[in-house]
Amino acid sequence: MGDAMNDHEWLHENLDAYLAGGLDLDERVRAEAHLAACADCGHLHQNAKGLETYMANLFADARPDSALEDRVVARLRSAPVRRAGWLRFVAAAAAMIVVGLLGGIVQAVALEGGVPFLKLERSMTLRNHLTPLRTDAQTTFSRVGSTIGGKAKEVVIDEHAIKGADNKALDFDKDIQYGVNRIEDVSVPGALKPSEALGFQGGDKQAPPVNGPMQQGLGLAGGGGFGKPGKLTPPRSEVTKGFFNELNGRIDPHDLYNITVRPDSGKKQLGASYFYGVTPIFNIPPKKSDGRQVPKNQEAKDKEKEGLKNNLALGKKKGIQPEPEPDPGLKIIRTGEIEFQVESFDDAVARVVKLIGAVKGGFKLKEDSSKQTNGKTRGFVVVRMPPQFLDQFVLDLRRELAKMGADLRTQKIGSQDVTKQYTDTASELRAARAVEGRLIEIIKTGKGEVKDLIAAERELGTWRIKIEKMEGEIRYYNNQVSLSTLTIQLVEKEIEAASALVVNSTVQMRIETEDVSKARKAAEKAVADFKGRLIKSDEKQHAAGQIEAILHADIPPANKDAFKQALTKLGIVSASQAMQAQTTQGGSGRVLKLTPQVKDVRFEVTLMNIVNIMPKYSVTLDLATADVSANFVKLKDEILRLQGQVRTATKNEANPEKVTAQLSFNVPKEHKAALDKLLAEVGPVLKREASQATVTDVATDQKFGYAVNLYSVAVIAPRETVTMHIEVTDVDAIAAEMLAMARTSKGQASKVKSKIDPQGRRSAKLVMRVPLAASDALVKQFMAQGKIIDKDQTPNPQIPENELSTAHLVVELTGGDPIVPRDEGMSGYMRRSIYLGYTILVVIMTFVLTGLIVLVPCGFFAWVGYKIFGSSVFRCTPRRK
Amino acid sequence: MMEPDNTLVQRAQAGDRAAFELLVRRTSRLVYARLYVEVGDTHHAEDLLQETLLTAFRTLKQLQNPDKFRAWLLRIAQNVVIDAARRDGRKKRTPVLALHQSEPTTPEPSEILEREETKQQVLAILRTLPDEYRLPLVLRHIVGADYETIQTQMGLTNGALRGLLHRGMEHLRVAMHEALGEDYI
Repeated sequence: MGDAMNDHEWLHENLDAYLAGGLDLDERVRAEAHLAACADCGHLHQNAKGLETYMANLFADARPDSALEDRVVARLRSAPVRRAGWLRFVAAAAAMIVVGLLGGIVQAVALEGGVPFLKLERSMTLRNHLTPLRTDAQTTFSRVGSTIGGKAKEVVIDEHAIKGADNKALDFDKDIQYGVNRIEDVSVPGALKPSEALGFQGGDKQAPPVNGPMQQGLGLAGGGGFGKPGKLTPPRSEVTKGFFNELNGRIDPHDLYNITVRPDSGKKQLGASYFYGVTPIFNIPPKKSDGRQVPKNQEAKDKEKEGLKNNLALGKKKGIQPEPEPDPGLKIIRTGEIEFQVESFDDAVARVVKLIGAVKGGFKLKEDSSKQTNGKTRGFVVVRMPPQFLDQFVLDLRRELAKMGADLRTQKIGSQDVTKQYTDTASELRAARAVEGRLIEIIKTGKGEVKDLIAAERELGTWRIKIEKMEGEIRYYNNQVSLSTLTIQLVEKEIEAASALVVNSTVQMRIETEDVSKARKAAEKAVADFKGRLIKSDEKQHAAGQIEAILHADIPPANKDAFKQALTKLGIVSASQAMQAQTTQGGSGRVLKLTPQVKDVRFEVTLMNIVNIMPKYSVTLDLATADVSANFVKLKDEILRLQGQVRTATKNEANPEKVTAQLSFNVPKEHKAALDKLLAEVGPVLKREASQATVTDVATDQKFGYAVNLYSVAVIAPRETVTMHIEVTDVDAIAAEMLAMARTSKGQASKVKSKIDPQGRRSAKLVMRVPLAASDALVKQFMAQGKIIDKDQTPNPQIPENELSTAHLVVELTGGDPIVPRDEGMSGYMRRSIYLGYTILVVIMTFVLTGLIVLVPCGFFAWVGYKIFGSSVFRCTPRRK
Repeated sequence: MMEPDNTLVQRAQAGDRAAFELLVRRTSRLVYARLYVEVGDTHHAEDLLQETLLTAFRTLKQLQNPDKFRAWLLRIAQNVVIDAARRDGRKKRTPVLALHQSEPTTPEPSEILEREETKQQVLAILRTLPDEYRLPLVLRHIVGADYETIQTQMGLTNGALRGLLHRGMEHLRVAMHEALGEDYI
């Protein structure tokens, strides 16, 4: 019973769990057993179930489907990730600073043309780097200089290079590139290749041979050099040891140094005449602890070069066998081409052969020469030698040939890495040999059918051919790698002397004469007299009666002056020009001693009668005259009387008031004075322009040219303009009076205008033209007529002042009081009202604008602030209850 | 073996999104239940659920005690509901009280109207219950979750849930009886 009682209570408590499916199997059995047994509990169960159904029905549409979680997660994933509040604040602050900086920079650039603090920083950084370097270089070199040559004559720090570095130092990415560039820059003048400059092997054709301790010094760079600071090879002599210690002690492992030893071509003394330079290759900031800055491919090349140089320095100078290649597997073919211009091909070849004979393992492979059309030989010599001697051989060759006066034209030394091809071929060969061995084995054992054996034999044949081919290739590579090939092109210098020197002379004369035909006859006779040769003799008459004759003749040089004398007697020589041309024939170089071959003198004579020639001096005159027509006729007549020549004469009468005329004419020199007098009578000169024929023109000073323009006085601009504004009582009467006054002073009115304005005021405008002399008096009279409001007097300086000059008077007359006073009536009110309204509007607009200027940024920042913090700070943190 | 909630919370706090998603799966029905009781509308509740979870995700690091994740989450949900009510109130210029569905403007069959009224009554009753009793009930009868789901969503052991369910039902039965009489059966 107690158990049942317990069951009963238990079910009471767990009925809901039972309904929800929260009981395990035993409990369910127990519950069901009790429910079946206890009616009370059964009822309770029915009630609970009923409630359940009721609720389920009621909230059927509220039940989320099974995909709720998936949906929620998917939407969560697609939601933008927002950073934490403080992170966003930092980001916003950083953005603000960036924007601010940007603004500052923009302003700085706009106002100062640069970013001052940035500039300062850059120069400071560099200076910090440069100063110790500079002092280091100075002390080092003076010490080294004294060790080697007794004393250093000068220590030059290549400021330019440092400046160059200055410019590039900011560009960190290009540091490496810069280093490489500098290597090229420091190559010795005289076309040493960068590769040699790298080796620091001084050796220019003009320089003395580099040997002894110097050579040792040069050798040092083999291991030092650029890209490997602080890893200089051990020095090989006492002198360089000193140099080395100096450098080793001072080299900053973060900086790259490029050490050059450059022969100074100007000084021939050994030792004292070398130029040393340390060019720091900037490396700011230090990037890696080992200081290696060289790009990988460059590094590889350096390694190769260094290796070679080491070998060379040791092998050549110490007389010991070259060290084995640093990487025996590396197969590099080195070839070179070099071209010289030499005095003698054969001598040069002999020298080359001698030099190659001295190289261990070197030999002449081929010689080829051909004679050219100019009698000179050109050809080439091909020599081969172990690659480690190539560089030294090229240097020796250049030095030796330079002694013989040869010029280096081009030099090209290249290397080709065939390691890949070589190893490929070698491994193919190994594979092929294996196949071959296998085939041989098959044939030897003789198993299988006959046709298989035959097939194997055939196969063996093809494989053997392949093997042969590959072995050949390997041999070729080994040959090419073990010996470098240098092709030396030799070209003999050309003979450049000239073969002949010819002197040609020409004389051009122009003679003015009265009778051209007679003069021409006389000239022809003179040609014959002086044993000359007449080439051309023309005579022609132009439409205007001018006669012109042209005569060309060759006269022996001896008779040249006499013939010229004879010609001058024919008339007036207006132009005479002599030319002498000396030409060399053949060759292109220096002129050797040659006797000039003087040819006959060519005379080119032009004979002219004087009419044909234009005057040397001429004048253009603008004249003002009262009566153009009469003076025009008068001038024409006078010119003809004075034996002048009228070229053009035009008269323009289109406007009877303003007649103009143009006259262009010449008068003989002797009558010029008479004509000038007449011109002075005609009228005052407004403008005078004198001109002279250019020297090259055909012109005579026997006559004088004129171009006269006659202007009516009316056309001439006024000398003076007077504008007056006068207030008078009776406009009409006074206007009439003024016009009358002007007329009595020989003036004329050109414009009279009068009007009445809306206020009922009369006004008038008078424009008058009066003689200048009368103008002052008139102005005074006019001014006496009323109250002067303003007066303006403008002279025109371009118009000459003479008896024909005029003045322009512009008089404005205004009447006295208008019907309606100026500042009264409706218009005054309106004006004031509009002005007041305008003022108020402007004030209000000013206030509004000022407010906006203050408020808009504030509002903007407030909005930004809310956007940044508002959502996160105010909403994300849950409120405590 | 299911990973306990508090380690999941820690992982999520360290930036593990997958852990957070797992937590979401374990709690979204609970939050939904909570929100539904407040707003009485499925879609609205789901939207608010989304908002709650998003807010939780963003501010997860502010949660000091990982064991109180559910309480914290429900508090966020509460705030979200308040915010939403305020927003809606602002939008409609109606008092905050208009939390629940506005009355339909078109005339509805009286049965549906009545049903709606009953629903609101039940929800009002549920809202009077303490959280710990209310949530299992809502999960059970409104969300329609089975026992195991309720257990997971509440983060409770079987025994603890039994007690809560039993006492909650007692409360509900009494309250419903008072409010609706016998006719709900």
